[in-house]
Amino acid sequence: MRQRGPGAQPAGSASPYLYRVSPQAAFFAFVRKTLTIVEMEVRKLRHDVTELLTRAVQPALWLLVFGEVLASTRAIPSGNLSYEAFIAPGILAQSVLFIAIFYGIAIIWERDLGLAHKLLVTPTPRSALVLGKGLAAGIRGLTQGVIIYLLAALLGVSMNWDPWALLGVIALIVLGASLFATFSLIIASIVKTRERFMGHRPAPGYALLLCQQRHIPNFHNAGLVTGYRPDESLELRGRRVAGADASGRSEYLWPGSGLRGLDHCGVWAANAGGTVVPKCRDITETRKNTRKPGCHE
Amino acid sequence: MVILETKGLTRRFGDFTAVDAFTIAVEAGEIFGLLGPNGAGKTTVIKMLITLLPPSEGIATIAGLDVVRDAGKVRAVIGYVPQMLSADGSLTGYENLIIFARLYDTPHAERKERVRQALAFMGLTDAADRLVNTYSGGMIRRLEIAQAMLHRPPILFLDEPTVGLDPLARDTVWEHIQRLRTDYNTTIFMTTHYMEEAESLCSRVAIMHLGKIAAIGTPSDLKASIGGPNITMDDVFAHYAGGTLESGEGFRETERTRRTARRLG
Repeated sequence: MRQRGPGAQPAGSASPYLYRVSPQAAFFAFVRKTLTIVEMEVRKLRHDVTELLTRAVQPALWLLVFGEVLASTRAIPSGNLSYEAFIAPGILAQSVLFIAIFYGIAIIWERDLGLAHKLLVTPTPRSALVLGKGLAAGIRGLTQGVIIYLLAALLGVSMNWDPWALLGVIALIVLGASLFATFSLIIASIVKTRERFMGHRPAPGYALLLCQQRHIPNFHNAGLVTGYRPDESLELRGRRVAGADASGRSEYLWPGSGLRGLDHCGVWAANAGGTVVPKCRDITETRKNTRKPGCHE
Repeated sequence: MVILETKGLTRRFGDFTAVDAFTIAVEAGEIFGLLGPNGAGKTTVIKMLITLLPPSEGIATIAGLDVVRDAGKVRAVIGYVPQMLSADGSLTGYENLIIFARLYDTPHAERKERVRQALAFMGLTDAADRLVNTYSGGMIRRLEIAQAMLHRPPILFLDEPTVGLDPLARDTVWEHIQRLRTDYNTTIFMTTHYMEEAESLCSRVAIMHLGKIAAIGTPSDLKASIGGPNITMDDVFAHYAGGTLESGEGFRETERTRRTARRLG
């Protein structure tokens, strides 16, 4: 904020608009503007509730349709938990990541519409704009979290209602969504156009794919990632998944270190989701312990 | 008092020089029009002046502030209305204004009053609580100008403010632009393709061609410069800007312009 009046310190230029800004004032202006960007998003959500409902379709399908079907067929072992209870944290992590990544990418459309230019011409620090966008993605993620909690409760999934656990989930959702939204913003600011983005879309998709290990137990060992063969049909791969627990293959689809960071993000996000149903953490631990030597985390 | 000054402002994209040694001085309270065919470099000039694009060479100052060195402070003293539609359709007119009032550091005690005044000034009070995606094209443009004026900047940049508007909406926007100058003594720096707009609104115009200023002066001076009876600004434009078929903006710019026109229509 510019200081005016007796407290103002002219910077020694002829311009009457040159004022020094104290670090404290700059910090408060930064916080205020970051929250303004978040508020803009909250207001948009308030006006368009249908968006929240349409975004709930994907997790609802997973939980209510696929979850029910896979649970009844018992095709996928989930220990002493119901399949719905097993996948609920993964669905939460996946949904939040989806929202965050695509929210970040939407900056390309905002740029095409002129809204991004208009924001960039305001005296708002670039960092406040980016942080505001990240936190706004967190708000969107929270709405998704509420929906998934409701659906999970509807299905009778046992959940931990301890206020500290809930606060932890909220913090993780906001943090995770902010991180992935800003990651997505970086990609968007590099590719700049929608056409180029289509070529880079698999990048955030990798992170989402890795989160799928929450949906399917022993994902690494099952062969979806290990021993991937591009010429293999989905059906064949599915069959291999069904009987691959004992296959013992340890080759990794991405053996180098290039994508290891994303892999970690995926595992982190899945574990973040695990906070919802603490029992699932046991399965995570079991799975970690049963992994073959040489596999990457 | 000179409020905007450029000296040898140049912008290159690789080997291509989009703006070449652009030098002007705009007095406070002027409505300055920048004309030129598509691809002449008008939008690049505006982007450099509003700190979105750093110049390759030359200097530009706004209200005594260097657009490169004091970019943050320059943003606090300018208003900008882009060619593309920039009001957020998912928010109401009032919300669009209040959000930008905060981003422009409008004092808290005055904020609501400024928004109310801006809505009244632009004739949008009745539509303030409606979502912007229900507005007509002319209303959206007026709202965008109101957004850019909330912090009472001494200079306002308008990039083709009436593109895609019907004649009636265009007249309304012109009227409001003129009132900004008379009521607030705001300097207006605008680009346009419409010669009648330049002639009726602008105190001075510069015609750009291939990145350079081909002519600068008042509309009447420019008409007099090419002589002959019944000369119009269209004749002046054709004389200075040429009319080569090769000239023209790129695919993306054309796509954006057409999209804006479609949204306004």
